[in-house]
This record gives sequence, C-alpha cells and structure tokens, in this order.
Amino acid sequence: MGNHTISPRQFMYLVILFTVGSSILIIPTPTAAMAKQDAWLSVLLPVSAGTLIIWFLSTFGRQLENKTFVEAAIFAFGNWFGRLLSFFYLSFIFILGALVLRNIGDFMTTQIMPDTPLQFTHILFLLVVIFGARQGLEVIGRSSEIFIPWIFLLLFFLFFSISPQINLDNLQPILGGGIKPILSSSLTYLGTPLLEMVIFLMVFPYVKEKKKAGRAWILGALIGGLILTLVTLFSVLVMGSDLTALNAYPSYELAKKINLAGFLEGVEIIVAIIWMLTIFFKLVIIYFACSLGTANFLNMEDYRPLLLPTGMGMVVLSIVAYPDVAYFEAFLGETWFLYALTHGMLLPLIIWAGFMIKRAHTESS
Amino acid sequence: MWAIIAILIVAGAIFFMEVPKLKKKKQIKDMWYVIILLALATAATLYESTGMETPNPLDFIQSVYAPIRSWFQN
Amino acid sequence: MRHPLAPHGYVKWTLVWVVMVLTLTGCWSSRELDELGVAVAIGVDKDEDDRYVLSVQIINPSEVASDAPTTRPPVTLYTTTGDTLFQAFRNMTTHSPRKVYVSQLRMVVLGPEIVNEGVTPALDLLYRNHEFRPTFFVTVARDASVSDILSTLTPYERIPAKKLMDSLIDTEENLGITKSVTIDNLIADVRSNGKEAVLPGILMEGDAATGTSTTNVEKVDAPTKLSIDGLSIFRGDQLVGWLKEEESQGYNYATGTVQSTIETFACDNPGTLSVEILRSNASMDAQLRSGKPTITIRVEVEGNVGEVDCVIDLSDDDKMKDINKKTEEVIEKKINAAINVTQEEYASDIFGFGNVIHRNHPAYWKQIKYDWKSHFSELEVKTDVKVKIRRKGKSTQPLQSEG
Repeated sequence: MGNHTISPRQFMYLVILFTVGSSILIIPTPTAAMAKQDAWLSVLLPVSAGTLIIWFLSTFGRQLENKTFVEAAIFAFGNWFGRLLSFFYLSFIFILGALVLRNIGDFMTTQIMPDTPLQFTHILFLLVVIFGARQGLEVIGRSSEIFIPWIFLLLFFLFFSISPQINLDNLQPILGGGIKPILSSSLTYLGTPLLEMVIFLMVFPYVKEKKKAGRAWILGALIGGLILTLVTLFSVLVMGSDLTALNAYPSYELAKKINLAGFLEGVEIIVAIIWMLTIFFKLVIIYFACSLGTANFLNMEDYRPLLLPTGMGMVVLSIVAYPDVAYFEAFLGETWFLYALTHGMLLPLIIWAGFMIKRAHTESS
Repeated sequence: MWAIIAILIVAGAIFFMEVPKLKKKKQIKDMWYVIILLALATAATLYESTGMETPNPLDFIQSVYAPIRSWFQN
Repeated sequence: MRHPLAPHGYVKWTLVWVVMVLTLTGCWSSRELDELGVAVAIGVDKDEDDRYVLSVQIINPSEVASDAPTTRPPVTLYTTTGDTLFQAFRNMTTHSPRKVYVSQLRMVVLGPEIVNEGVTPALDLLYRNHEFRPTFFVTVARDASVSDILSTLTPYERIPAKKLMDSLIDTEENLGITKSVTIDNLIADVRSNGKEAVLPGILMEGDAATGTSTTNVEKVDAPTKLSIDGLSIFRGDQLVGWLKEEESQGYNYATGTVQSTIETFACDNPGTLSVEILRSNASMDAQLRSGKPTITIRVEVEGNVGEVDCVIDLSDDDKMKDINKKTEEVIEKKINAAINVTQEEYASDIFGFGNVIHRNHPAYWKQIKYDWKSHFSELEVKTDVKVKIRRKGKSTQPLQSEG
C-alpha cells in the first residue's frame, strides 16, 4: 500500500506527540482530584509500568513483520472471526478519534471562541487532519520532525516562565493520603493515552529497522509520559491540588498565569499551540490507522478514498458522543479504562496468541 | 433546511472527488465500498441535523461495561 | 473515457475555493478593538434589595492615547444591578456603548456588604468565565462604597485602577503592611481547611463628590485620594475584621512575604533608631508533643541601619549586636500581636498553621481537620526571629554626638 515508510526516529516523535496530545488537557484534573498533591506520582507510576505494555506491543509488532493489526487478525482467525475482531479494533479507533476531536472542540469553545458552534471547529480541524492523512505516513513522519522542536521549545518556555510562581509547600505531604488514591487515579493515565498505543500497530509495519523501532516506541512513550508528569507536577506546584482539580484545563490556566517581570503576560494562546499541534498529530495518526484499517478490512487497494466519508462520520459521532462535558468526565472516569483495557490489551493478546499458533501451524505444515 | 442542502452538497463533492477516480482505475469493488460508506455517513449526518435523538454508541459501551464495572469496584 | 458527471479541473478548484472562502474567513467570534470597552477595575457589592451591584471602570481610549488631553476623564464608570453577577454584567450593555472586555482587568474591589455576607458566590463567575485571567488582584473597600472608590480620579497615574495596582505592589514591597492577593490565591485560601484568606483594603480620604470630577486632579495636592490600607481577616468567605498596620506587618513577617520595610525602636539614650529591612525569610514547622501540635515560626531578616536620631556608638560591635536584638524584639512583638489577635479575637487561621500541620503530620491533621477552628485558638505558637544588620549606610556615626 504505497511506499510510505518512516524512520524509527520519526516513529518516536509520533509516539511522543500521540502521548501528549489531548492527555495534556485531560490528565491533570482527575488525577489531582483523586490523588491530591501526589497527582504527579499517579502519572509517573503508570509511565514506568506502561513500559511493560509498550514492550509487549512492540514485540508483537516485530513478530507481525509487515502485517498490520487488521491483516494479522484476519490471517490468524480467518475471514469471519478475524474481521469481527478487527471490527471491534476499528470501532475503538474511530470512537477514540471522535472523542479526541471533541476534546479540542470543547477546549476551543470553552476557552477561546465560546460563540463558535462546535461543528465548525470540528470540521475545520478535521479538514487539516484529512489533508495530513491523505499525504501518507511519510509526510506525517517528516512534519513531526519539523514540529517536535517547537513543542519542546514551548514546553520549556511554559515551565521556565511559570517557575517563579512555584510553591514547594503545595507538594506536601508526599504520600499523605497513602498509596491507594495514587493507584486508583493512575488508571486514568493507563486508559489515556497508554492503552491507546495499540493504534500504533497499524503504523508499525511501515517503520524501518524494526528492532530500533521497538526501542523508539518505548522511549517515545517514556518521554511523552515524563512531559505529562511535568505538566501535572507544575500545575500542582503553582496552583495547588485543589485549584488544579477545580480547573477544566489546568495546563491552560497555568499558561494564563505566566507573568514575567510584568511585561510578558497574556501569552497563553502561544502555549496553546502545544496542544493544537499534539492533538493534530494524534488525530492524524488515529485517522490514518482508522482508514487504513478499514481499507485492510475491506481488502481495498488504497485507504485514501475512505478519508472523506470517514471524516463525515467522525464529525457526527464527535457531536453526538456526549451531550455535555459532565457525561464525558463520567465516561472517562468510569468506563474508558475498561473499554481501553479490553481493546488495548485483551484484544492484542488474543490476536497475538492466535497469530503465534497459526504461524507455527503454517510453518510446520 | 439549509443544513440538509449543505450536507448534500458536501456529500456530492466527496462523491465527485473520490468515485470517478476509482472508476477510472477500474477498482469497481472499492468504488462501491466508498459509495456505501459515504451513503451511511451522509445518512447519519442528515439524521443528526434533523435534531432527532441520535443513538449514541457511548451509551451502548457504558451499558455493556456497567456489570464489569460494578464487579470491578467490589 | 471520462465519466459524464466527473468534474473538470476547474469545477473541482471552484469547489475548493468556495469551501475555503466559507470557512477560512475566521471571523466567527472576532471582536475588534473598536467594539470593546476595556475594563481595568471591577467593583462588586450588594444593595439593600440583596441584588448585586456591579461597577466597571472602563478606559476612555481617546483620552489615554491622545497627546492633547481634553477635560474628559480618562476612565468611565458604569454601574448596573442584577440578581446574579452574570446578569449584572449583561445588563451592562444597556449602559455601556461597547461590550465589556475583561481580559486586561487589573483589580476587583469588593464592597462592605458582600464581604460581610460571603464572597464565594461572586468569585465563581470571576473564575469560571474564560475571559478572566487569574492574575488580577482582589481588594476590599474600607469605609467607602465601591463606586465612590472606583470613580475617584487619581493624579499622576491617569488610570485609577493602574494607580491602585501600582500602589498595592509598592506598599507590599517597600512597607510590608499589606499583601497583594490574586483571585486564585483567594479562592485557594477560602476553600482550604487549614488556612483563611486575607485581602488588602482600599481607603478613600476626602470627599467622594470632589474625587469624581477632573478638578480633583487639577490641584497639586488632590483633595480626594485613594490609598492602600492594611489587611482584612476572613473566616471562611466572610470578612471578620482588620489587622492593624503593625499586625499586618507581623503577618507578612511570619509568612515570609516581607521584602523591604522599616523597623524603628527607642535607643537607650533619648531618641530613636530606624533599621531598613532588605530581605526576610520565614519557615513554619509543626511538632507534635504528647498529641498536641506546636508551631514554630522561624524568621530570618537582613537589614541596614537606616536612620539614627540618638547618641550611639556605631563603631562598637556590641552596640550593633544590641541593635540586632532590639530589632528582633520589635519584629517578634509584631508577629505575636498578629497571632494573638487572630487567635483570640477572630479565631481565623490566616497564617495557614493548619496547612503546616497537614504537611508535617498528615495523619494527625485528618483527625482534627473539620474541627480545626476550635483547635486553632488554643494552638501554641513559638516565634524565633534572627536579625542580621550588615551595614550602616554612608555615615559611620550618628550626626548627633555626645556633649
């Protein structure tokens, strides 16, 4: 399907952008609400534990060689059952795409343009995403190389310029509430973005040098996780856990508080470029994986004709997905982890087992 | 009314952007898949634009996971 | 063979153009500068009917920007009422020719009614609405109505809100009798179990009617002035009293917010000696002894001899040590005065002792958290002030000499 391949380094950048995208808006609030001043620990903990998940996924990816996840499912379980499993996988990606789109839409309409209808924000954002996905993986990978320095620069700027307002007292008492709230709130990070990483099994076949790529995957997830840990840490350090939990978008509130020597203030919109870019890349990857998977599913020659119809569907789903923000918060807190666990862990395990058995079977016969 | 017209225009535009190319390349099966998916997406969009209560897959997911969740919490 | 319905190149491009023109204009929520009334200060209070009274000080751009100012004032004050603060904001449209834009807001002045009744309901909108940055200061109008304060014109600095903000910061940095509090600090303190809020006060001297006219700023010594006052004490979200100047200073010493100030005390010989405080540092610790918490406040202060109006031998190291000790006593007295008045008169933990106990002894804090107010009044607090006077200015000895 085309001759698009990306290098392990580009793949790592994509993993970083995917990890940070939309989680940078979502993660701090529920973790600070549950784990209070230890919120950063409840991000750091699953980051390290998540290495195991990524290690499994990347090993699986290497064993798949040049098959995508959907192709592997069909290979392992045959035309019907394999397609059924693929359908679950694809619907997971599709729903995630709609939710991520809604995240950026909600953010824009809450914080920047409250009078603009949600649909238009979604359509405009998605048009750019479709354009990106249409260019193919090679272009996506190369543009990630252009944008990743900007992400790091802006993050550095955010952390640096907010650091005068840090109050170390806000972190104490460390482990004051015991380990239990940290463990239960770390499920938030496991659900988004860690278990969503299964989407990269659609991209992995196109990465050169599989061994290096596996390491790049783990490293990228670590770096992205550290960024999210720092964002949560700074939110709590500057605002305290109570206000972090009170804010829908603590990272944006952090940027609003930037005031360097009275002359550099009101720069939050520049910092917002971080999540515009990261969410853009996250959506492009989701979108690419979703239409490529559908093309595999239908045995089509090319995924590109599917982009626009999928986009129409995604805009509709992003609007109807939840009636209000409270519904989403409840869904994220209660159901998403389990949903992501079954699709991001259980499903790949099943297909991995089936794939190994089938491969051993074909090799022996 | 305007919403319906806009949706039909967009759907038509997508149709003309994708379908003739596929036909030219003689990928007839792919062409039909695109047409079917486009029709489904258009139908969903039209249905949503009428303001009727749209079935929400998230509700479905939540109801499926509700028993697991309560088991998980106990 | 081309399909009869397939678009020609130009049809496709026209479609692209139409879509772009419709979507990329990007003016959906745009608001140009000439449609905005830039608000610099907001006053919130309640009237007799329990309705919110909102006063908004808006810049007159032509007055502020032009080189040849006319007699029109640089700011305009609009006042509306509403059942909620949000309603009062929207009612503003009936008075103001432009939509009020609050992102550049410098200061919120809370009126006497609302601080007695509780400020939380008013704060919600100021924190929830996306247009507010959480960087503006919150103050309390002392012995004056909010609209009188906000309609007073100030000399030198043409925009009164800017003058108030600058004075507040200057007073905090150079005198230490007040403390600037931003909205998110206030909300965090009001919501916290282990700390109560303080807010700086604003005083008006002179006649309100004179202050609102430009004649006020035409005199060398403006008859009506605005000044920054000491700190008010809150319990929960209600104002319960005011700290005196020295007590406010003591509070700032204890919380480590003093940057620079003056301490004066009597010499052994008749006359006084003033010390310029250059920097100070404070830390608090909580110890648990036989199930009872004790707080220790450690303050480290550095300064110079500032003014000597008595006979003293400044070349004598013992005398310098004596100055250190006396300054320590003065500061300690101020801190203890502040602690005493909050413990005995107001039962309001403005120092955040509860949070200190939470940080150092989380398990103990859990037991007394909801009962903290009664524990606070019996809390034992120790203060330990260390002063280091380094230099004595340009002169080696006082001008006054013996004999």
